[in-house]
Amino acid sequence: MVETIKDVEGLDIELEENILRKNQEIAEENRRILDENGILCIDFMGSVGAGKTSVINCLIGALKKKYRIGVVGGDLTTKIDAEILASHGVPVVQINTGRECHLDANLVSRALMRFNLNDIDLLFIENVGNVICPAEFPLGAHRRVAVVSVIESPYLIVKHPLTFASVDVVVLNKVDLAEVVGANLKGFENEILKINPSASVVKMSAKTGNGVKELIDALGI
Amino acid sequence: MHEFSAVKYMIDLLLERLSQEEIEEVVEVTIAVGEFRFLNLDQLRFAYEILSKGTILEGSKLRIEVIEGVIRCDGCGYIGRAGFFEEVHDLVPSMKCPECGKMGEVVRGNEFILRAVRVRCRDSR
Repeated sequence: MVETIKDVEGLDIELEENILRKNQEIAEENRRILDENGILCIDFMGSVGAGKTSVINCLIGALKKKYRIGVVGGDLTTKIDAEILASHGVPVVQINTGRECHLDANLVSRALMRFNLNDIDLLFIENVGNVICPAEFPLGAHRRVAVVSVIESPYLIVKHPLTFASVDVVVLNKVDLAEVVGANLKGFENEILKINPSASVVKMSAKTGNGVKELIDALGI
Repeated sequence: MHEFSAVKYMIDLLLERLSQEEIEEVVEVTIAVGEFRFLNLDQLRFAYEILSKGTILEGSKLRIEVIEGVIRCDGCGYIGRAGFFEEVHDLVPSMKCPECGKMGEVVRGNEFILRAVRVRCRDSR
């Protein structure tokens, strides 16, 4: 709506335009397409090396007999993670952003077109390794998961409050190493719940598979 | 974060909207940023200064309104402000219900809006 007011100093043009509406609109459209096809979609974010690929790998191993799974992988370069996950025999689409530090709804909408959505029940999206930027770009997923490894800094949570406030589930990964590095698991959990009392915190070792059942429950699968 | 991309989008949108007017000078641009948005105001101003160069926006003032964050608690029905994470940083808004402590839904505070622009037109003198 454009309303113009003329006065001596100049012309005021009122715009009231939502500048970033495009990403929101595309995210909503992605969600509509997923819902139409009966697909539960989960967006995994976390630092480089936290274990996003390993956690997804573990979930696919536990769920592939019961559900038809698809994966969208996001990285600046390489198909390394996609190839690891594709070895399960599930369809994987890799997005290489080249430069961009997060996936956005537009990239995901293009990836969705590469699947036969009729043949998918569960779609996992592995976001670019980055614990900050993905939080601000909704993709249209039903759930958002942050993967944190217990060998990362204990201050990771308090340094990124808006990220942890925006997720449904936090996976504390690599618990098999907690004792070796002296990680305080209860401390991590308390920090998360202080910022986001609604988050489900799942302690896991994607390497051993310990905790995967709890993660499946927490995700509502 | 991504203040430069955000401002680039804003400038593109603004230049498109202004292309139909006979503009002599752009005096001031007003935007509104929600409190829960991950956008740093100083960096927005810096990005605007740099990205407006060479366009009709160069030299114009950027006015930023902050939209206060409002949450709705599905637990106790509270609708209102949620304060800040004081133990974290006084600039980081909380989404926790101040009445019952549950996580609220954001009702207001995620906006990034191009509100208005003040211009001098060739025929307005």
